[in-house]
Amino acid sequence: MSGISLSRLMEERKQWRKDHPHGFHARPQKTPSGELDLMRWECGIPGKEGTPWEKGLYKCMLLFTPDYPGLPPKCQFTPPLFHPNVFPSGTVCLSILNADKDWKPSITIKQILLGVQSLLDEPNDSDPAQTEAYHMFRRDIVAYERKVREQAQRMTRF
Amino acid sequence: MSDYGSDDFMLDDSEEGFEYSDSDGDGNGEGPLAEGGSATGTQPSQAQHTQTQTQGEYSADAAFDDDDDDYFMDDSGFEPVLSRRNQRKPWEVDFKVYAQDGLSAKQDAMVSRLEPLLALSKETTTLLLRCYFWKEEPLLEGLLTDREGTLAKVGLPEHPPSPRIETGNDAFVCEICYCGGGDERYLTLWCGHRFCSDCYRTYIASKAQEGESWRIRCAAPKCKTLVGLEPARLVLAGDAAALARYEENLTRSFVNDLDTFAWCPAPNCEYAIECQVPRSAWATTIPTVRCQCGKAFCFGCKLDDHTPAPCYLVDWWAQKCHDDSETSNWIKANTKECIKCKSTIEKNGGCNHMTCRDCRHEFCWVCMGPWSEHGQSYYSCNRFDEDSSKNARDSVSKSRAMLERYLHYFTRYNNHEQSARLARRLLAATEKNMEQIQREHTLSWIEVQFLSEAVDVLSMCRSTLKWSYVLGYYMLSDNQKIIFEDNQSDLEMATEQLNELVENPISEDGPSIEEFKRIVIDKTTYVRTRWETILADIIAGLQENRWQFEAE
Repeated sequence: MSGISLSRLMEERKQWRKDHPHGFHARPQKTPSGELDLMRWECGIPGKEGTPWEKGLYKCMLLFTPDYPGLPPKCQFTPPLFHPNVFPSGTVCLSILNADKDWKPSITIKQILLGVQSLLDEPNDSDPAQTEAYHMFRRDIVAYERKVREQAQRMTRF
Repeated sequence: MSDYGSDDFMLDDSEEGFEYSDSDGDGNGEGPLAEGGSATGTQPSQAQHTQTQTQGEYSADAAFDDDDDDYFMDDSGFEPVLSRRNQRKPWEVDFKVYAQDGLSAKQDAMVSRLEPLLALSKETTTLLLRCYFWKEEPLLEGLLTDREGTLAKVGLPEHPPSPRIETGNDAFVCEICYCGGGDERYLTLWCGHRFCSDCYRTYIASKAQEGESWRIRCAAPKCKTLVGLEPARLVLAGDAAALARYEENLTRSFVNDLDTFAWCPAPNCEYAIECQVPRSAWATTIPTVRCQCGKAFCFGCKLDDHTPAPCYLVDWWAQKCHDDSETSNWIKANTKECIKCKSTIEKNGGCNHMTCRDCRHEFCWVCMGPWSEHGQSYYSCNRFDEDSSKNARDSVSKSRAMLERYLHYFTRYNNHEQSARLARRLLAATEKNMEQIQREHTLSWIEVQFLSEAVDVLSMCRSTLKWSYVLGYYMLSDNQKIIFEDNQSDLEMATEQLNELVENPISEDGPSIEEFKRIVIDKTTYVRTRWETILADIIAGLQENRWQFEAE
């Protein structure tokens, strides 16, 4: 899908500004020379209310390639997140972000971010990406949730 | 056609034209094989799908006309048709070689045969068949018990409308590229999702590049609808390379999804082989097939022809050889074992008074007896026949015997493998010889073919002998094995004699050319007979469970 990545991202930006879910933010970064870099978006995903993730705002980068939307962007938490499906590098392991699995070229940035938000409190048991969170999640759910709440406190938006 | 039973469909398979080749008995499958690439038989009309008619036809069609009917028994449930034409040798199996166009025709034939029975569109039938890995029975069962559910599984209507690329809709916006307007050309799938044809083309082309074909789904998020073959072809129409790739993937998926099809493993060979011998029969039948390119291989394990050893023995043997062969040769030649703890010991100098490093047992290297009985005779052992020394050697020899036994079989296996390689060189030399004889004795080309035929028989026997040693290695000793080994040694002896004959052709003081020719032909015929005898016996033994094999 070469050639259309920029125009598509421009449209994504337009759509996002028109309407986006409450508590989220997503904006293209600026290059060192001050121009808009549509290939790198800085986003924030709020934890869902009523879950150990609430009150936290989790910052991540969406990194696009010229092959977008043929290929999905990479979603990377900065700093890396304590979560079973987040790699130590911060990269998220999620089926809709995998070209060989459920990625479709029509998936929007809004859908990606909502998907990642759902993943926060519904980790995928079969695709562990880091040992620490995965093992604690499997073995000691109380300690796991405590740790998630601590993390939410640390990353609170307030 | 509402009361069709599964029998009809099994029978149909044969009508499809599995004109199993290689029943001409020469093992090279050149007979009806030439048809392999072409379309396979004509499409029978629905009216023909009756038991009575099929019985008559199929017996001649060679699919069920042999004594290996057991293969088909479990699913077909009809009486075996007695043999009317049995040219196939007992160790041969039926197979068919397909070229690319043959494979396409085969797929089309399978689809169009089922299409009227299911009363579904061609597109739906194709996708259903592919979803069910081309297995008709489960598909029919699914459709009969739950037609809606089965269709829902594929996400297709019974008769999807032909795909059309539309234009002139001002309200249309493609949600991939966000282009839109009345000029935009777009495609709507059965699920209702629409995207512009450019985006669809790029989407499907990139999936095709990754090896995907019919499994490509609608480009809308979470939508599981299959794009389908017709829409894919429609949008790829402008991109010849991508379309070719897509079609290739379709065929590839067909061969990969069917247990009864396999690609020829030869490098760069594009043929596929169909063989109906089921997995369950691989222990008693060696499904050796021969591709159009000349490659003979086992349909079961895809390794080179290993008749008459069944796949599992070949597997054991490969493992064994991988673990042992070279090491054990060296161990045998250079080491002995400690009588007490069986540690392997290499003597690399010093006197015969050995002290095992592991268990501290002291013994004599020469007679293997305990050193305590040796007194002071350090440098000469004259105790070889004493009881204690004998007992010690016996205990060692038991474990050595295992090794010896393995090496016995391995040496012969290896020997035949090498001889087979030499036979190929022999073939080149023989061709020169044939030319020479042709010139010197003014014989015609056809009159000197006896030599090349002899070499062919030789290579055949070498391969069989080689694998017969693998059989022998795992075969438990009983009277049956004695018969087997007698056959084996007969063939081996005759093969060596023929080899010698062919390698040393006529000399001045030897027999005349006519005499020589007669001797070679006689010997070739004899060897071939021995070869057929042993093969027939081994296969019969496998099927009768006459041989007892044991893993180590």
